[in-house]
Amino acid sequence: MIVLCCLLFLFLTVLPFWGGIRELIQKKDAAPLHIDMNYTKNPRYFAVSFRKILTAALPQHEPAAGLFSCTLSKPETVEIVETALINQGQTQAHVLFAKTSLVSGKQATFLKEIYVKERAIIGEGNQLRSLACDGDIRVLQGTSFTRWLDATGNIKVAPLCNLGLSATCTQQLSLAQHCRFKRLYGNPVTTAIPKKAVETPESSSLPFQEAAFTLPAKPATANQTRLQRDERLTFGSDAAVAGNQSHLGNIIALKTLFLGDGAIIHGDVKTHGSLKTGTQITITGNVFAEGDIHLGPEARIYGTVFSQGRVVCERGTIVGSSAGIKSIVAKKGIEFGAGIKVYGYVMTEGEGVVW
Amino acid sequence: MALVLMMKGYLLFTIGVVLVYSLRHFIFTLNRLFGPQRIYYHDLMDSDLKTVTVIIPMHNEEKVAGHILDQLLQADYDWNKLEIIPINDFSSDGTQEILDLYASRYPQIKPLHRAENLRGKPAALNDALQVAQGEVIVVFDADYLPPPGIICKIAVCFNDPEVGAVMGRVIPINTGSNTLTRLLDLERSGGYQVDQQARYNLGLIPQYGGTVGGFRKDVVVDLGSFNTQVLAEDTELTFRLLLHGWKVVYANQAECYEESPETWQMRSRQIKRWSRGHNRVFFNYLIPLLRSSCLSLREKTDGVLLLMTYCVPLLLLLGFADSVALFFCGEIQIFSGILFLLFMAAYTTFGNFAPFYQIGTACLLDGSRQRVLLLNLLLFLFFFNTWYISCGFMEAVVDSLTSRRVPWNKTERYRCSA
Repeated sequence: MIVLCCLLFLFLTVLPFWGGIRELIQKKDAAPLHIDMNYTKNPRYFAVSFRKILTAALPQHEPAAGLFSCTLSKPETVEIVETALINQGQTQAHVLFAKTSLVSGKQATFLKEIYVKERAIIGEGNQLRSLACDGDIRVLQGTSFTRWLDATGNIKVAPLCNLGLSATCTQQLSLAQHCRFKRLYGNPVTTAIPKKAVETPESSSLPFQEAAFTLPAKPATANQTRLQRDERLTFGSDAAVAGNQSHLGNIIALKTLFLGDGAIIHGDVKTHGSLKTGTQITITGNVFAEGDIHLGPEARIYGTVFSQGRVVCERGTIVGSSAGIKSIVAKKGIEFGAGIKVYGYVMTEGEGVVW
Repeated sequence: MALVLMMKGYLLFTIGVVLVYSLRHFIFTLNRLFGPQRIYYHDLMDSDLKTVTVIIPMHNEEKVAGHILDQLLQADYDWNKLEIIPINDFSSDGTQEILDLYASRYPQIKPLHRAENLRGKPAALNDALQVAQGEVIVVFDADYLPPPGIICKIAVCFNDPEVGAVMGRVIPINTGSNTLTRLLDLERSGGYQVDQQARYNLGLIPQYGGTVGGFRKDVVVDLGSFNTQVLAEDTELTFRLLLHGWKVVYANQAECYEESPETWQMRSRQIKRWSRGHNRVFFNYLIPLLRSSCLSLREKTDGVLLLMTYCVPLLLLLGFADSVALFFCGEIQIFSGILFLLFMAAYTTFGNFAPFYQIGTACLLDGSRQRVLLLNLLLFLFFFNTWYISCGFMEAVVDSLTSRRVPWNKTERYRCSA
């Protein structure tokens, strides 16, 4: 009886630890957490990877037209054509490889990835998964991508298109009104100016033209704002920089920050609240906000823009310059007005939209 | 009678402290599971990133020196803006020869050989700061294996004018070696995936951990560089930056492999050193933290709890002894029966297991399933840690009272040389 009790005691003592002991012995989950030691950041990663995989899987020299079975990330059938002409309403069920160009009619559907060696014109109302093109891409109205599109040339997108997870190119990426996006990359990324605005004389001049790439001169006169310690000016409550004032140094606001019309900030701006600006403000550095960022018309930001909230760029805003790559990153969403230019990368975890 | 009253008071105090920390663990866990997650800066693409100096303190690191340098040579960063300074700190093995060989092949690697003045990581870092050219300093311990993109992920946060330092995530590579490494892996997961990230989400105080992290060189030099009398120079830097209006951020995506201690003896030395250093910082910075005008009430509260982390085990140990003494004195029933029973049940259920919720959540977020079964075994690590952390606290008290010099002991490496 005593022995039984002892055994029972031992059993009940060990029982809670049994799962752990078993895992120590069996080592089902003993490998270190995975870190991809080959990963480097590339906004065109999906497309570059797809091209590489497909090119490696296809016959090496001048693959003949027809159906070809191979393994990409899984077994696939690749349809190889010289020029892809997809009729209205047609559904393309296989991975498509066009050795020259692709033209699709209205309401066509592509269930798998597409690789086009020259240029691609995607008709109205098409549904695509992914498109990689070694030339220019033109996307007509109402087309949707579920995954990504990429071009080694230009991309021009008509109104009411949905660009999926990523739209990237090495040259200009132009978006028309009411397009939706998550990630964009182009040199630059632009939004179209509505025709009516272009034709109206008073709106066709300077406001939509990018100033030459010269940073505004730093104030050298006595009325420049004195720098605080560490060359940072910190505001403890809602703060404002008056219009047409020039400030030298970084600004950190613990609450909302307002920049008046024509204000010039020679430095970085960080706010723990929101940032709101008037028209034609200039910030030569980076912009960070815990809240939303609302850039008024014709804002000129030479650095990156980063928000834990939303970023709204009104008409004519320019971020970055042709001399380098900058970004707009916003957690909750991005809204672009007309005539926006971003030299580099745009990304949001929420939804991006062009008004 | 007065003694019994004091003992009861101390027991209640201990329970209160544990409940506060339990609440903290739960808040962090719930935040990671259900709360809004602040994004880090790694999605920013910028062709004008700051110049970087990578510093790697090394003392007798011939087993691992080649590995980390090989990894850093693959860094995905503009090499016109990057230099690497491995510090040969009083090494008596082949470390110097290895560093000189790499320097002869790669001009970006500029070893610093030290054989004079103080030995130890803080002193070595101070010497390196005198010669570093970079605006941003990134520090790795010698046993780490940085992936190519990590320099960029660490450096990009310094575009934010408020950021003074950044901490990445440490992941043990020798997880499967033995029971100890498996338990330490769990501890690391909980500490980074949940604790640090939640502190970042909530705008509290992520801690700069001295490796897989970076700081602004000019700021740290202006603040007097590193204190060579403190073993936890990383914790001290965290609070020094905070008290001067700078922020410390956490980069969960900046992951890097490390070697965990594989013997209980080595672990005991490591945890005792951490406790000794951290508690010195606690003694030195508690009052300045409370008085600081640069921090909000939330930040101060979290800062105090962070500073006290390595004295809580001693409080618990004394509390346990106190409860045993009260029991044998027949004075354990402090409140009326049912109320106290409920109180103790709640404390035991939520208090003792709060860190386990945190670690279990970390495993869930990491996609690890089976290793959650090891949570119960953390109990043994808890008792082990409690003892050695308490020893470290005692040594920190003596250090503070006598201002004695603190010796620096390196952690043993287990990898074979490159």
